[in-house]
Amino acid sequence: MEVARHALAGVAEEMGVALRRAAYSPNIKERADCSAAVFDPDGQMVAQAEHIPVHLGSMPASVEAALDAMDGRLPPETQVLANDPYAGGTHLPDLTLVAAVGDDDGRLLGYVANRAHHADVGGAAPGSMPATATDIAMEGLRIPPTVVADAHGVREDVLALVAANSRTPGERRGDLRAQFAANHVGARRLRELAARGGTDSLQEAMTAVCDYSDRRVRAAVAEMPDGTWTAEDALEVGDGVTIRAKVTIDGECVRVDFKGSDAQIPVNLNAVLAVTISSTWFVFRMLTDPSAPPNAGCYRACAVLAPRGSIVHAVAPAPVAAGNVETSQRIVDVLLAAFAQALPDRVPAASQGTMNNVLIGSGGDDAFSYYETIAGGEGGTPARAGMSGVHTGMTNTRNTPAEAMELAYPLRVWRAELRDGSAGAGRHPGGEGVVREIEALADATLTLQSERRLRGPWGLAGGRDGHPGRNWLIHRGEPDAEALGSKGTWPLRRGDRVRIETPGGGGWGEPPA
Amino acid sequence: MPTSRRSAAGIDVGGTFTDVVVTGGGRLRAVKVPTTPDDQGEGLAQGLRAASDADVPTVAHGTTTATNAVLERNVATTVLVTTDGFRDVLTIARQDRPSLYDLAVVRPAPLVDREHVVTVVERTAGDGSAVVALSDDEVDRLVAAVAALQPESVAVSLLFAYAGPEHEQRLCAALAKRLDVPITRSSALLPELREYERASTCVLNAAVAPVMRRYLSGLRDRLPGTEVTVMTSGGGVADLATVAEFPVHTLLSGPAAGVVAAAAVAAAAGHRDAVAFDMGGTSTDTCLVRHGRPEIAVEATIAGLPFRTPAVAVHSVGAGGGSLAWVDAGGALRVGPGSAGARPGPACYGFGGTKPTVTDAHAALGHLGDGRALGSGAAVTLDRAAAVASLETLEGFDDPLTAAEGVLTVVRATMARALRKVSTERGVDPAGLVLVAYGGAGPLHAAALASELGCTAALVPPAPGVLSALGLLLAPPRHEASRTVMACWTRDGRPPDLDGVYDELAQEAKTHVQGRARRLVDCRYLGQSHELRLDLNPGADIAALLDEAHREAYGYSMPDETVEVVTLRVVVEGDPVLPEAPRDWDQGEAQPERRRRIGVGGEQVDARVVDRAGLSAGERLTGPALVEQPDSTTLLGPDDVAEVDAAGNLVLHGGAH
Repeated sequence: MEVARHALAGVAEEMGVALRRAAYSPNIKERADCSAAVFDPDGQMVAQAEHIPVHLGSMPASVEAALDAMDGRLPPETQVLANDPYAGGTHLPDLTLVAAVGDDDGRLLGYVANRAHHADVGGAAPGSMPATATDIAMEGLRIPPTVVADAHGVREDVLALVAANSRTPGERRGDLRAQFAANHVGARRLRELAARGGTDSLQEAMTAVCDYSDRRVRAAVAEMPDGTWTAEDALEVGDGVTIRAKVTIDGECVRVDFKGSDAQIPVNLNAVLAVTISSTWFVFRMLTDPSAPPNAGCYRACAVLAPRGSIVHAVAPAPVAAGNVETSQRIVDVLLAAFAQALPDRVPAASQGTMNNVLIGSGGDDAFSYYETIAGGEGGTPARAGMSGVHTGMTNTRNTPAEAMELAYPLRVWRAELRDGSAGAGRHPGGEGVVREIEALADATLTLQSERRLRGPWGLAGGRDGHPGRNWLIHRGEPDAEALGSKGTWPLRRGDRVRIETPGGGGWGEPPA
Repeated sequence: MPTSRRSAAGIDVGGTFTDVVVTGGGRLRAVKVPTTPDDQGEGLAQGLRAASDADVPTVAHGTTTATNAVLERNVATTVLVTTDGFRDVLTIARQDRPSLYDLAVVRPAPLVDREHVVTVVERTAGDGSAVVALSDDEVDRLVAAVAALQPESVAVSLLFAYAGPEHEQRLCAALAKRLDVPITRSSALLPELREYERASTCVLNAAVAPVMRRYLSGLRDRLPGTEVTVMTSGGGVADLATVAEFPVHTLLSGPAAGVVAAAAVAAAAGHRDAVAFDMGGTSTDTCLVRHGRPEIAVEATIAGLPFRTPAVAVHSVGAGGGSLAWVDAGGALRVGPGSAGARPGPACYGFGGTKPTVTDAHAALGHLGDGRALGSGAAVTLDRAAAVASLETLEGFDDPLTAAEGVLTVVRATMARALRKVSTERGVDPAGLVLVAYGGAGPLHAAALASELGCTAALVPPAPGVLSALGLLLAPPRHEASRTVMACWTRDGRPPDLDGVYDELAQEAKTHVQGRARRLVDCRYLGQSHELRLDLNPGADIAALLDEAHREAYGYSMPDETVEVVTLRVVVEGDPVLPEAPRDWDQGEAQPERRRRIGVGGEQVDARVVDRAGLSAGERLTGPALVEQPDSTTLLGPDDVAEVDAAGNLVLHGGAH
């Protein structure tokens, strides 16, 4: 079993490496906004290379959607491409490629799949995350599960269609080739495993590793107290959009019900079900057995219910681009608040609860598009203080060095420091947020997608809340900074500066007197 | 003859033993003496005396002085000087967290805390011009602020200093006037893009500079008149003055020497592509060798802290002979990362250990002879019964021998994964490579791993336990000079003239090492964030080379895309002490052949037990068999075949287990 686990994990790992090596764009190569996984013939995930938590639950959902679209089974050598958030996807820039793998006798061994965040898939603004979108058609090209390769080879015409719908078609072709390369590596390794030990024993091993993770996770849940706990929190849009969750721990199982959450909205903060499941599984994995081999078995003991048409289970044609990056973070906070009542000695205070998405760009001859997410404070935990200036929750992408950024874009970074005093006090204080101040050296457009600008991340067990984040625009030559909202699009003139102050983490425990 | 006429010693200081290999007068001689942790120079001098009666005029030395200082955080009080607005560059780092789900895993604290970071009002732009000038008043203020912190060492790393070093130069000159401590300047140490990695490298250098300088000056006193060079992470050696100035270059020198020797062993056997496999007591190091050279990584880390100096691209896993076997909550057999360490050590060593280790599994299965003395002069006698007793504590097995087989199967899976990782990550299939197995435990797994990975063959060199010390004699004097230039051109435009910068870099490198200069270039397609490193002959077409290298590495190229040159490098390499891996070793006297029942592949078989010293070139062995030597044992399964090649290596061909 331990050998099979290493072997299957090795397949997923090698796919992830191949994907990052071959990718063209910085978003995949440097920020590692991608993932890879292996599935058995029933579509059950048996191994995953973990890069980004938000892909946790949505990878299996993509494979399931691909199988559903093809009558439940893909013939070996078939590959399906999809990004439809309403069919297992997260948001449109995340493209998933699923490949069916067969042995020499044509018997199905399983599937390999990988997902990568593409920098642009069309839509109303560069980067395909327009703040102004009121429906999904404005967010870019939507690809339902589509056969892009079969025994006769790759359907170049379909790939050309995808590339043609992007502002950067060359980059898309490079990144798509990387996705094919990753599946190629995965398929070859899976066939080798079958050839070495036999197809039957590979199938048994796949089942065994999932059962093993399931046992470990159930053992961890069994040690939790039984009961039902509820929590809620709101997104900062309009008068507030509330997410409610009821968590029930019952023996070896956990049930999470989002009944009572607000309805979906014509703003891009809607989370599709796959995003909600990913966020739930993230919290579940963190609190049960973080080192159990990542596969479907880790989540069998966790049921997720979310009402259709709500903010946590959006249906077409709701726009969803920020559901993936912002609402996912709020779902994590709500679930941690519920679990904190059951496991007061395990759960940390709230972390920054946002990704602080910053997009600066312009069109025309000197077109450029800069996209980044900015770290903040981690919540204090029952065991230690929160970390400062770190990504938490559903993302873990790296920053762009100031030196790399200034060479690539007409921007200058004046400040990239910890935001002193932003952390929530506590016996174990939260981590500090970050101040990042950027000057535009050319006229440009600024788009922000951020949260926790009104209410700071909550403290726990007597710890104080972290300070909410703030967004500022400092017009050139003017003494006073203009306070910006949490989300929106603004023009920047040459010499203007944007200052983003990200939230500090909540504190844990009564602060010392 | 491969051995040089003048006598020379390679001295590698490890955690437990200091290994000495001495050349001169024909055959090579190896000696192991205990390491003296407080001052490694003491054990070094003892080892040298034990290995040679005569004076040894040349010593190549591998030291973990800087490495241990960082691992134990026993470093100098260091002040970091950086640009206003970037005070927390070390804390924020690249903003990612080390574990996605495990709250118990936190980022390592920077070596310099916030109170010891001093910011200076100045700013250089990407083109090297000053956006905010550095005033004389600000220099005075800064020097006073640094002095007030009473540092033992200072690191200066300003934004874009690689493009415009003038501010750093003025600050460092003023600091040097006031303070008598080592000063590390980023534009001298690492004039390359990316402020966090550059600052982190500078701080590591500054933090170990005082302890390294003390150690090296002690060494000079101990070995007067001896020419001493020190191993660096990049697979070369450097003189004492260079190492004193840039001790950060030695941080990963430990595994580098072994890899250099593994590459030489493979090359002498006619293989330019290989994978090095060094399995020791607590960890295993793997590294790819291509075209006769160890792979060099762009960035490395120590204790979670990154630095960008040339470093042999070693992948380490926390599993070795001393790793503990255990059964986890889900009922699965696991090996490591816990280790029995030197004390109590494996149960079969008889120092009071009761928990089963990988070594105990080998002992129980008869791979290591009962009652055999291990190591040269080390007081360990192997106790098989204790090994069997320790394995009986593992739940879920019918008998201890089945448990032992299980332990070996699991540890091999870990090793296979590590070996695949270093090869496939560089786009190389392990099938088609030779596996060079060394370290005390490596040869026990060589044949099985080579079969599993589909390697052409496995090589076990003549003295697998002291390969690192040998590597010191095979490592060339090496220095690399680099500078980020950032130049791009379209395919219909004219490439920029880079010869001027290359000439300056070559001149700089040659102040440290005399030898042949090679040009390298880090370049990419405009818009990419990662560079490819290419060898560059003068006058070569960089764009065409990039297309070719991109196709080879990633499967496609972009022949219309604008090319961007990021960093230029010049590597100067001189001649190593030994031009190639030696064939003549003083192996001592051979024991007569014996037979023993051993467990392999789930069966008990009758195996030949042969002494390595009794094997000569051309001899052939069929498994099942064990080849014993003082520092290691090689295991051949029933289907494996071994042959001794002209260079004295055991060449293993499998057979699957």
